[in-house]
Amino acid sequence: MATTSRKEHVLPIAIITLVIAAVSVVVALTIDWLPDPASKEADRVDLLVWWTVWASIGIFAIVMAFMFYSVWKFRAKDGDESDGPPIHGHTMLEIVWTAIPTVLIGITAAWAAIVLIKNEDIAQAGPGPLRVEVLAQQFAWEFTYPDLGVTTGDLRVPAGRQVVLNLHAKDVIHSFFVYETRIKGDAVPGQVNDRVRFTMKPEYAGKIYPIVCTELCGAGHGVMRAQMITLTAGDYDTWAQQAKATAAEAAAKAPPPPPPTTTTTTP
Amino acid sequence: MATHAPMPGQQIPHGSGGGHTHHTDYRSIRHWWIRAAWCSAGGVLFGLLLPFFLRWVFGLDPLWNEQVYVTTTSIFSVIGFLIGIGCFDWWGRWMVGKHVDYEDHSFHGASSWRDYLRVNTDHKVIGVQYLVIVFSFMVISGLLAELVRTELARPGSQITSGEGYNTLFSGHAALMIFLVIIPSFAGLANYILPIMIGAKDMAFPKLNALSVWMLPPAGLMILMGIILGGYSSGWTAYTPLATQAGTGTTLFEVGVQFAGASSIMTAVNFLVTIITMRAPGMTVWRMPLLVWANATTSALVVFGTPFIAGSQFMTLFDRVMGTHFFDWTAGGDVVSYQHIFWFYSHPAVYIMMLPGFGIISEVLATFSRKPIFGYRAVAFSTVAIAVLGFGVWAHHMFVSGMSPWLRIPMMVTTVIIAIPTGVKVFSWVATLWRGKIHLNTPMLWALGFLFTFVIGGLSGVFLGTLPADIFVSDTYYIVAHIHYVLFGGSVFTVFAGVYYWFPKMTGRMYNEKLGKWHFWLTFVGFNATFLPMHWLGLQGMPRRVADYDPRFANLNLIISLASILMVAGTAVFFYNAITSWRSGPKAPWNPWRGRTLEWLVSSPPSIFNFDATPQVVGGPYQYGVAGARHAIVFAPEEIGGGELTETTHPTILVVAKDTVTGKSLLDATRELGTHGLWRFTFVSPADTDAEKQALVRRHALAAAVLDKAGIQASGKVVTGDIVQAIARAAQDEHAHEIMVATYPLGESQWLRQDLVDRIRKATGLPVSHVTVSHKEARATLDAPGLAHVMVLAHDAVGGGALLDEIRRRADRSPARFTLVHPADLPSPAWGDESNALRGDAVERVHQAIEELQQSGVAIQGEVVDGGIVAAARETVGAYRPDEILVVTTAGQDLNALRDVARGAIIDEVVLGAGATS
Repeated sequence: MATTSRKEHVLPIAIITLVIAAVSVVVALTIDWLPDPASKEADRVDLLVWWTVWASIGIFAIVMAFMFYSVWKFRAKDGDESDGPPIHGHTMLEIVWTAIPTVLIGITAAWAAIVLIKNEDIAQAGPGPLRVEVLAQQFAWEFTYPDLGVTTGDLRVPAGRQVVLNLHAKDVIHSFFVYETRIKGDAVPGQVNDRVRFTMKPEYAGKIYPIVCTELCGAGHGVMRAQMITLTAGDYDTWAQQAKATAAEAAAKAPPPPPPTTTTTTP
Repeated sequence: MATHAPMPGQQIPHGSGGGHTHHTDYRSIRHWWIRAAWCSAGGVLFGLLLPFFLRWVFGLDPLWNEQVYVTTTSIFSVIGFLIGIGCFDWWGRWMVGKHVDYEDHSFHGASSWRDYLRVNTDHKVIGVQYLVIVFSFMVISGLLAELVRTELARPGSQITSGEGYNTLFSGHAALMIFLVIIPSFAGLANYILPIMIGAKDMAFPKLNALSVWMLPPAGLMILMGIILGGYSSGWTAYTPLATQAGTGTTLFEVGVQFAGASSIMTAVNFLVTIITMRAPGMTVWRMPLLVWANATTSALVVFGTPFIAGSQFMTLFDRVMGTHFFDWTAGGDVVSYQHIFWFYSHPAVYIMMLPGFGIISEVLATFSRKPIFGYRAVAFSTVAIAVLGFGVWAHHMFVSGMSPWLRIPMMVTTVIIAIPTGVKVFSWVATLWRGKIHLNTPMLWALGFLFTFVIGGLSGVFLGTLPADIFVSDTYYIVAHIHYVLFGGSVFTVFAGVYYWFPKMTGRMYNEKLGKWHFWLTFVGFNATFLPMHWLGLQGMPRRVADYDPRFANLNLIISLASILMVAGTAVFFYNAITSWRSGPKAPWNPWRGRTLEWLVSSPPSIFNFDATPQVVGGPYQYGVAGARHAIVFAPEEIGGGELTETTHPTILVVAKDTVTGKSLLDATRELGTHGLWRFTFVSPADTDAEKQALVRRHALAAAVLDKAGIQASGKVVTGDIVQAIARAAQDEHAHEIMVATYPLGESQWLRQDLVDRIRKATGLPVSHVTVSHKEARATLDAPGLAHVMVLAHDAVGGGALLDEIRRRADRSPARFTLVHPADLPSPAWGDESNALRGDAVERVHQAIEELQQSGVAIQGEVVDGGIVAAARETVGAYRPDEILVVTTAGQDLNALRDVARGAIIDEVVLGAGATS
């Protein structure tokens, strides 16, 4: 008796699960959720994101199917004051529904750790990474290329070469974020954050992306913007030579700038 | 002078026959609030003088430093307020050696709304106080959210930008977290938890009162921070931004201390209550899951909350005392603020969620009519979440530039929490399986919670995976996630709990239809508001910005419009809660057929919940197990002991005549009746038909008054020999006890006849005696719930027809009357002629009132100069009648009257000619 009654539920639940999953999948596929993965890191992040999304859709569909089916099927009739069967638990079932998420979680965590480590790997081959010192302050960005002795308000990066940013902050915490790289890092006063590392894909050269501040930094937080311009390796070299020359020229004319002062607050 | 403490093991007498006197403190709320105002002002003054003096002594220049003075004045004004309102009175008396009575319950229980506006040590009163505070702040902070959505409806600047906008969302978050979600669970648990474990109150009632009274000043301070400006660094108040900020941030930092202290004291109270005050038989494995959840949450609060207190103190000290905890220019460390802050604030999300899990377990079991699936696993997963909750704080800091190695371990602990959480969700769904599901409003909220919380939980796992978190950190994805867990999670459970226990707390049923409207409006509005935010976040829209990329414009407009649905839902909730509380149908003891202890006592429970210690005999959710029980509640020995059920209402016979509606008698019956154990039968002897009629009217009045307090009463008029008649009535009604009300000694015919003793002898029942003065017996009942009818009679006064008219109205439904007699006097009004006429009028009114009172009508009267409309204008404001009965011999123009009636129903009776004589 128990077996037959259990069997009768299988088909409807399967159908509800599939309907919920299908709707979710249609939503997931028809909308462009993650446009412009312009860096190599973005591909890894997006793949991981999609894995968690698919796994989540599966779990959501199953749990909701059981819930909706129960509410529909086991709804008490008007005036029915009886109780349900006294089912206190089922050890095997409980072990299974603890084990399956554990496995899924394990896979996800391991995958995430691998993606993180790969994304932050310093490139050894070729010319090595391009290091740029980034100074954030209320409410502007400043980019210094130590190799060139150049400071600019826009970030120019060569496509195909790894970029490592050293984030500094002058006053409060800011956060550097270029959406298309999928990478973000806080610029914290008093310390250097070197975890923003990315390599733009060559096919995304010649593009301009907004740099936004994503850590609340005061009244002008919403307008603290700058641009990141991706260049082909050749274009970047040309720009670097020019900028280096201009900077040297300016330095020869003007007296050296005063050393950066630190602001102090008095109570 | 002697003070005494109960000896360990000594049985404290309780119940109506014991040594307790439940008198209420006589001082008015005015007294306490004026004292509180003075003491707060004193605190402000002290807060100004102290730093001034210290700065002057130590030669600090300048003498004026705004933030220093704001800090001290805000701290001392709150301390002053707490002293003034009376939180420390008992301890103060004890300290200076004044008499304190350990059995003094004058600060316990509530008989009118006024008792909620002063310090009260009753856990049920405190629970309601918590919830009222919480819902007030929910309105304020909900409006702030609507302002945020108004600004975000279009790109660019609408109503505010920059600092103003930062203040709006900071205030919304801070109030919702510290003044709404966290204390809402303290409020619900305060009311329910002691009853659930079979206790009479919390372990530390005075501490409990102090906890709740700290909240309003804490909230007001944060609110003032929003109004004064300068609180714009987000609820997280990260340094150095918070260190730079203005007065508002100082007020926030002080306000959080009081909210935190309140939270910690409540947690200690819950822990001790749960550990030491469980009823016999309530082993930990028989504790309802709400108790499990609150025990665990309280442990979290006790361990965690001191960390946020510390973080805010350190920032405050940096700002006003010249310390350098987070001052990176002087060797401080900026990121360490975030570590300390999140070491509390991550466990805080479980503080805001675990009690909700408890509520959901109660609601799902009751409305599925099934035991919670895997009770032990659910209980243990609560503990597991709490323990793991302390090991994950740095997942809020994956992009913060902290030590890079810390990130992967923190990711692992973070995603592990999904496992016990998943166990809970699966167990809840399995509880539904093959149940008998009833879709009442609490159940709808519980199912709605399951839907939204599964989404919030899964997006939480998504955020736990490190590279994904780095990607969407500080975008709208976070806003979506936090609202799915704190609104779709916590707030949904709060509503489930409020509807579930509404009948228990108010003694009234809420309106089921409106409850469902509230749910559906909120559920649809919620998902339409917050689901699209996931997309905004994945597209890179940063949070905490007033202006945004125009390509997000349409979706933001839709979100802003959808949020209005939630406002509508909340409005429905308030309408439902207020009207149902005032006049909803009476709630039975156990409307949901629940099994836990709170459903085995009256709604609302009597002043000490249980009149005899209950005995727990089984698990809390034994639905469907034949013959299984969770607990037995006993009737007190005075009424014979045995099991107490809703139908046990032994009768007390009240013997009274003209004194039936006397205040002292009604107070005495009401006090006994609030225990929910007794019903009353008024027995009155009558000789004549007129007397009989008058007594029937008085019985109806008294019954109506008691009915308002949830007490059953009826009346019986007997004839013949009094003592015999009473003995007969006592037998018919199976009376348990007799109460005789008489006039004072010397005025009472009955006492002269030695009636009390004769009744005792004749019936063999215990007889108590209540004295009612003549004045009281005749005083118009000023009891809540009686309709007040104002009779405007001009030329009809003095005629028998008017009196018949009033009697007829009195017989229709119980009411009290005020007879207003307009006397159109010749000018001047102080002339001899006028005085004489007025004297006549007064005499006529006196006579009418005397006659009516003789016939059992509760009436008072007044003569007013002027015509009918003028008289009405003058008196309506003072008497606030529900009805106005205009009795004239000639038709009147009622339109003018309608303008001054202030909404009272107007009824006109035109008497035939000759009615005046």
